Amino acid sequence: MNESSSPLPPLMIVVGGAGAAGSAILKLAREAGYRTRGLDRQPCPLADEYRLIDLSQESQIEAALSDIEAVQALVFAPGAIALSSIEDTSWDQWLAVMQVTVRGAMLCLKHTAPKLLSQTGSVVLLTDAPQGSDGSHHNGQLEGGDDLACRTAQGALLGLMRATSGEFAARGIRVNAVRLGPVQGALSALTPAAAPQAKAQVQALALAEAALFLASADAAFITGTEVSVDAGHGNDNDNGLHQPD
Amino acid sequence: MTPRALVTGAAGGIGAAIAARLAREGYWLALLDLQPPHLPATAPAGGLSLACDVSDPAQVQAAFSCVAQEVEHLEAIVNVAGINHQSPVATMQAEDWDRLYNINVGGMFLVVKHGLPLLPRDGTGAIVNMASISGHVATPDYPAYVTSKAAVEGFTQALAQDVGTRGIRVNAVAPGWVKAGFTDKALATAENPQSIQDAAKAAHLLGRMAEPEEVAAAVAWLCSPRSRCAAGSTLFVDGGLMRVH
Repeated sequence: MNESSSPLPPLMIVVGGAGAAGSAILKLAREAGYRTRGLDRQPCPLADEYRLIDLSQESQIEAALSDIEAVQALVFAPGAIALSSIEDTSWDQWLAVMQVTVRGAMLCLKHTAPKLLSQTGSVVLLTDAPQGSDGSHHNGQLEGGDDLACRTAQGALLGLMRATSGEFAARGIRVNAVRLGPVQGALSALTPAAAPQAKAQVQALALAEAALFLASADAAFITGTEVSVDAGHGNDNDNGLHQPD
Repeated sequence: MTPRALVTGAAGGIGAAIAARLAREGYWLALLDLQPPHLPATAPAGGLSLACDVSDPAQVQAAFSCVAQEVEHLEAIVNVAGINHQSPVATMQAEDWDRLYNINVGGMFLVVKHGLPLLPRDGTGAIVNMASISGHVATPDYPAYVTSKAAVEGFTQALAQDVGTRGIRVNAVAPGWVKAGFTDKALATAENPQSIQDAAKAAHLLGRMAEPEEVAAAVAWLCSPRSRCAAGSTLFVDGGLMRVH
């Protein structure tokens, strides 16, 4: 067969492809038959190819996508950013989180949207990141109040998801979000407290599985919504871990 | 004791209504906006009217220095300052996005950061942030605003957790369409203002837009000890708009 006549596998762009969730998504995407391109400040070893970019720089985002003609799916998977309480968070730190996580998502959408395939194209925004390997936390589920900027960004990403699901609906492009469900109790039961890395792996896999589902044709009627994933273990109050009888 | 409140965006329709309401309830007021806002005649003497761009850290710091020279504590901080911008993501200029986001969300961060030391820790301190139903029901062509208002709710929830143990309550008010500010502008510039009125009638269960005073009443309640059990919540003042959707 002439190689040029073979349709290329669909392309998935994974922003934050070097992080735990991004890596898990890239791995599952390749298994599902996607070509993958990772965008990150760090190399993305699980991607077919990657571009090193700073999400706060629009020109770098634009350049990293300039040679692409058609995109099947964009997955935005920002990494964990741990900050402290409001008194200890500087304006510059606040801006850095918002620039990378919120503005960065908007700019990735802006420059990918013209290349997303009409009717089948899909965008998935991860509003959570897996737990840090040091056990530090990352999202809106966790105890304590030291995630102010991250939770604000999480809310913003939900708004961006809702806005762009409407903006892109006319072209049949779907936009959804994935967050970690209230799984801390379940995950604690699943993986001992001394093994935060194992928890992070479970969280990353849960996020990746949901992202791949939302990007797939199985989710063709799902747009403008947030999917909460919990690794299949319910929530804190009823953690769903069914012990053998 | 005379309660004391600081209100940002106090020159706008909703902000001015909040200032008037709090003045009637006997609050000493510090009012902030780009231009010094009008102090209600019913406000206790000695109030402050200050020009302040809430997205500028130096100006916010200077404003709170002025406030701290006048009063030892503030019982309430009300974050209303906000702008709107029409542009789909596809044509969004990063500078426009930054300006809106840094006012609507960053401004709240800066005001709270500098205002926290003035809030009492005995359970009488309250922060109220102006959210919007736009954070839940996306308006076409306004992704920056939608994103920012969803962010406000994330910020509110995280901040409530952050400072709740110190006896400071943080809540948000999410109005539907209000006869003020952005709606006034839309009505003034629309080719067919009646179509906007008709759309508002259809959008709200109550068949009308809110008066600014109705939003102000909700804010005043959340500032007062009458809402002492409300924290991290969003109070919808939307005439049933969310119910319709």
